[in-house]
Amino acid sequence: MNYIVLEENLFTIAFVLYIVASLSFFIFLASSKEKLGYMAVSVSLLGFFVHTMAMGARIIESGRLPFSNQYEFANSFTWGIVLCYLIIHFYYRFTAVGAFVMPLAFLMMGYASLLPRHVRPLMPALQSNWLAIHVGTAVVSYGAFAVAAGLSFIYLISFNKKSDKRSLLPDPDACDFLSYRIIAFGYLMLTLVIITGAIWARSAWSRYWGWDPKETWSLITWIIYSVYLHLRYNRGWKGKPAAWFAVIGFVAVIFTFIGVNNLLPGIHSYR
Amino acid sequence: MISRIKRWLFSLQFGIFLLILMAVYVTFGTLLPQNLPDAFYVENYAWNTLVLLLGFNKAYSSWIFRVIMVLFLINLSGCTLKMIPSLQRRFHHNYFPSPTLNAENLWPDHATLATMLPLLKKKGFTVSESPDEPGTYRAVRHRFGVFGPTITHIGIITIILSSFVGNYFAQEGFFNLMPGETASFHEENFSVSLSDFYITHREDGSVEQYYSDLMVLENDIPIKEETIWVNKPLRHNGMMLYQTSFGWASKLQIRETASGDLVQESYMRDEETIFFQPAHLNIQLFGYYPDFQIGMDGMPLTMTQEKRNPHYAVVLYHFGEFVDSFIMNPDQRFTYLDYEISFPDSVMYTGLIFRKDYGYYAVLLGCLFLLAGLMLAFYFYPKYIYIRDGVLHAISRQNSWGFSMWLKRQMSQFNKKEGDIQ
Repeated sequence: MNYIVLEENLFTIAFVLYIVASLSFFIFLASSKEKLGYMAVSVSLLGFFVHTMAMGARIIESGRLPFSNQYEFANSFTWGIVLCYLIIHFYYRFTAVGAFVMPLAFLMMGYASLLPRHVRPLMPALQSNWLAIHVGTAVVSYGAFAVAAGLSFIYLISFNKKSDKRSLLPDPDACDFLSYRIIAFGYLMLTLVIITGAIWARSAWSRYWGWDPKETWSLITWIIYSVYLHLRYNRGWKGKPAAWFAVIGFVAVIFTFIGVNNLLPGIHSYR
Repeated sequence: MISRIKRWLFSLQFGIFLLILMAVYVTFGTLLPQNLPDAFYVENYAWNTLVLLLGFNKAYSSWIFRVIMVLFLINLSGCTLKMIPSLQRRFHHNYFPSPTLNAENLWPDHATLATMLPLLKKKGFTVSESPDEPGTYRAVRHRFGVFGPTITHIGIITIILSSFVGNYFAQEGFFNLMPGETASFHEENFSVSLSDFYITHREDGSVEQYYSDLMVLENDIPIKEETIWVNKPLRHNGMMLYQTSFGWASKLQIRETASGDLVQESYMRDEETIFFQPAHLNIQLFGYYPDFQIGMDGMPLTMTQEKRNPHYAVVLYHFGEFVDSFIMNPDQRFTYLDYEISFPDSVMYTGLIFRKDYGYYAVLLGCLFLLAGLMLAFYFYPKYIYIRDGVLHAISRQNSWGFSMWLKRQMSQFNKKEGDIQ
């Protein structure tokens, strides 16, 4: 079986399903029909299933986890976003969150689709067991920050909007709290990303910290979320400023991934 | 005045200010090329005065960055110490926070105290009757979690201090070895000899891995042999040796044309020049190309690092004046004056980094503290429940909403089982 062709086909199907899911979520918000919400979640779930199969095909073809270049990480990042969203949805039943998270997923997948998809064997520096732990935790961490940003968007919209549509959105206070908890989880994961990266860098490059642009921007992102958590915990920062901070944090996450790779090349630039 | 300065120095606001300042400062470090001569910044940046004044050209080692880090360490240490008395009070078994005035009552419809208290004990809560209010119960879990932020801060302080100290005393350097060559670490009382260096390739020609077969010697006696590759360094007496790079060393032979006698033989690395005194010749090896091709720009290049079509680019100078340049293969030789010059073969040499970092394990310990502290702060934070017949309040400073949600889920089983939870 040609797993690469299979992966490409499944990737395209998942991409289409994510677009359909995003549109369905928007129509759900506009029409206030509960059934459309269920449909959007079902399509997201189906898309996630197909996406997982696509990643499985790539894993079989390459014989390793898909974490070694920009395409593979963007693809895994998308998978992490949808996974985090689905977990939050099934635990808290916040259907409308999908309208703000699924577009992030399909945009990231769209970005992945523009990148070269060749399956290349791992270069010597990437041949390490730390690859799975370091990049795996990054996928989960970035996915969590994306969902937190989606919840913060909802808060900001709920805060500004006085129409009846607001009733379809989850309780703003719940979004605010949940965004905080998800950021706490993402922050813990990001800390793990940085620590595992440092341990790996020491065995590969001799120094655990070298101020490479990717390392530095991970630290900047970590600092932004550190400030958020401190203000939230110690100063009772809630609501609108906290929501804006969560969005800014996610912009830093995106820059750390896409911006640094394309604008600030360093030893982490695996294309 | 001093107490005001101290209060400000150890305040959260100052800590937040320093964190933001640090983030902004290192951002410039990522945007500007680092550690280049001042002239580069003067030529390329209109705001070069600011760049040089504020040390953005060496952002991670400038005095401003160090001052920020030292102030941050002072601030964090002060904040951490300042918190300890209040944490001790909150850790004490008598401490129990009061519910807020508008706290939601989570008491389920069919519950009784007799069923509620065993359930909470089963969930890991320590339940006790309030000494001040008979009939009122207090349930507490994860009281030790109050130390989460403190442990996190200790972890960060340990990381920063250890990396400062470690980097200050670290020994680090780079060296090349050809097979058979030895490098000595006199202070460490050992030397390292390269037995072999080789590259393995995949079917598509891409490099699979770089290997150096090393032998460690103490007082010229072999102690151990080890093969290292990228991600697998050698460790000896605290010194780490890393596979970092490689290159080619090409054998230069100079013979007298008339007699054929070999008058000089030595190895040259790319771009190296050798002076041959008898003929006043400077021989420069411009480059060695194991898989030679001429590129689009007319310059020689190598397609792979495999010896498929080896060629040498050589430039000759006589009394400092350019004479000629040649592209030659290992079987060719060129004659100048009374001498024949050839490059019959090349061998690969390995490039190794050595580093001894005294602070690494302390940094690692700091990382463990940091992770443990975050786990405590985010997940094992103190959870309090205020219970009176018909009244149930969830109290948590860190995650009041999440804890209430969790407690509601636990209480929902009372409704399902109509009060019987056994």
